[in-house]
Amino acid sequence: MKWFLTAICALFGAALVIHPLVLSNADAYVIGVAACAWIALVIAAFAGAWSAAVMGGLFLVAEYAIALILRDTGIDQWSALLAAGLLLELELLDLVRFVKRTSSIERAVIMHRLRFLVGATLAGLFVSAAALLAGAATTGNQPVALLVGSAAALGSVWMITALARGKVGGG
Amino acid sequence: MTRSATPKLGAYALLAAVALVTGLFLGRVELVVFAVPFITVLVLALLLTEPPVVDVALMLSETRVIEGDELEATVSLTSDRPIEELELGLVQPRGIEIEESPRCISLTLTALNTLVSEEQDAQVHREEVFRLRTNRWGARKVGVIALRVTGPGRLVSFENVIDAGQSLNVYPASESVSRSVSPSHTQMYSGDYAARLSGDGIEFATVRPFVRGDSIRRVNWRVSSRTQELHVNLAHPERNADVVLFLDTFADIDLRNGTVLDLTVRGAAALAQYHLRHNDRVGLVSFGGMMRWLTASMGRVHAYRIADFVLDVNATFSFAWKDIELLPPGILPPSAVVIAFSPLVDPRAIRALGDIGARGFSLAIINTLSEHEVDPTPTQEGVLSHRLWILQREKVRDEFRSRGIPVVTWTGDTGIEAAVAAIPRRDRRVREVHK
Repeated sequence: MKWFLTAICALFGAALVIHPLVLSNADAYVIGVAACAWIALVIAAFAGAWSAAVMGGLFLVAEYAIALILRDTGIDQWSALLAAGLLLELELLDLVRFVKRTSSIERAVIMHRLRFLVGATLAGLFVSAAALLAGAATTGNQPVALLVGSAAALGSVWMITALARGKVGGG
Repeated sequence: MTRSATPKLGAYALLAAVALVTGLFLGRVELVVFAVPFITVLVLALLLTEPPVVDVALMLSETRVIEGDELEATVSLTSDRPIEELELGLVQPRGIEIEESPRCISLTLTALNTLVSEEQDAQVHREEVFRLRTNRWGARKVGVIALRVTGPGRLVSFENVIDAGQSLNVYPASESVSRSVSPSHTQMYSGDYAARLSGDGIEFATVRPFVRGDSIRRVNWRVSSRTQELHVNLAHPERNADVVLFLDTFADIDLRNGTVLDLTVRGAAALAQYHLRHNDRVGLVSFGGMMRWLTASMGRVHAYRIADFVLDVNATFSFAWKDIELLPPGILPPSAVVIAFSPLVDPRAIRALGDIGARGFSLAIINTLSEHEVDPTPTQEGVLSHRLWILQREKVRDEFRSRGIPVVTWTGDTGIEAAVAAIPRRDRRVREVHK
């Protein structure tokens, strides 16, 4: 199972670095940073090292920032998905690290981790989408849209907290 | 439990901070959006994390085992609420191996309430069994348990190391021997050696003329008829002997199969059992950095005393000069057989053994360190010094032999009986009665 998860991490890392590449029309700088990001994520997946995972995440942020600067047209509507994707990648890396380091893991633990992984990714996607909406609204200087976006963000945080208290409970 | 942040928490915080700062610096909302999921997870996980309360107890299926035996260690976990992720590790004490997961002993438990649950008092309870195998004799402490509970998202962990301190006595697996060093003198109690004296017994000694008071049952009728005078048979009474096992514990040296102390303890335990079986009084002297002794006695209870004594035999480093003068009177009974287990490396032990021999005790030395066990340094000087060391040791042994003290080398490849058989028999030894 750990090799399956490792392979998924490596492939998903590759999928993550592709979006900024497409955004920047495969600029040479972005390709270089993307390669660094992917290599760091692959190392993190194989070695189970958090430092490599952090490096991978930072490289991805840098790659995305460069791509955004190069593009410089409007708001990237896929940013929320990319952010949730990076969160999922890091959660998967954490799971791989956990599986590799622990000799005996019960099925219930894995299921709990997968539930958390899916829940965190969906929550992250939801909240970042709300934040993106709020951000998009504020670019037009529309106070009403800003209020709606902020309320959505706060509401989503409140809802997730309430849900998590009910489901995750006594951790 | 000690609360600490996991590397994941730091990673998420760093990523969120970098994305936020970069977003603000570049004025791009996408980068701020990038940070939002991480901030959400951080806030939620930290809000939902509560310090757990877990009670841990350990119970061993046996508290006294023989080397090589298996036993079960049951770890009981009790918490006031369900814990989704809990890692449990039983620290492997020296000389004990955890079976089925020999390299990594940590175990992850979860959903404590789904297996064995006791809903009363809103507590969850679970027991986890570790199978242990004892590899080496000694008094052990089992029960250092490492516990780690992680909060939601594994951003915060609570760790604790609990010493549930259970004593486990692992007795050496001694071989059953059928011979040992024969004593030169016998003692007053009934035993398995034919004494040199004449008296009541089953071992024929001689025939002498009948005197008043002799039992009519002991009349030798054949001799009486031939000599026309009453003669009676005399016999050697069966007596026991005093045996003192002298354990040199100044040094413990690693060998290919165990250590010098392993050989010492196993050999001593085997010979002690043999002599106790033959009604001899057996005493022990642990002569080393810390001197301990056990007065010679006999019987089943004394066998347990010896078993407990050898458990605490260990090499204690000390510069203090030790002499057999330190032993209280009676520890070395007169005419006792002294069987010494020694690697013959410490001059204090060598001198003490020389003193014992000089005092007229019937001493036999079992050398527990073979020169073949020590590899020379692979240099010309190393090989030369190794040869010199071998010569020095041979000289020590020759000095003992020249004083009539037999020295045999026992490597552990063969049983202690083979080593004992190699000890030259004394002319003045008493005979063993084979019943």
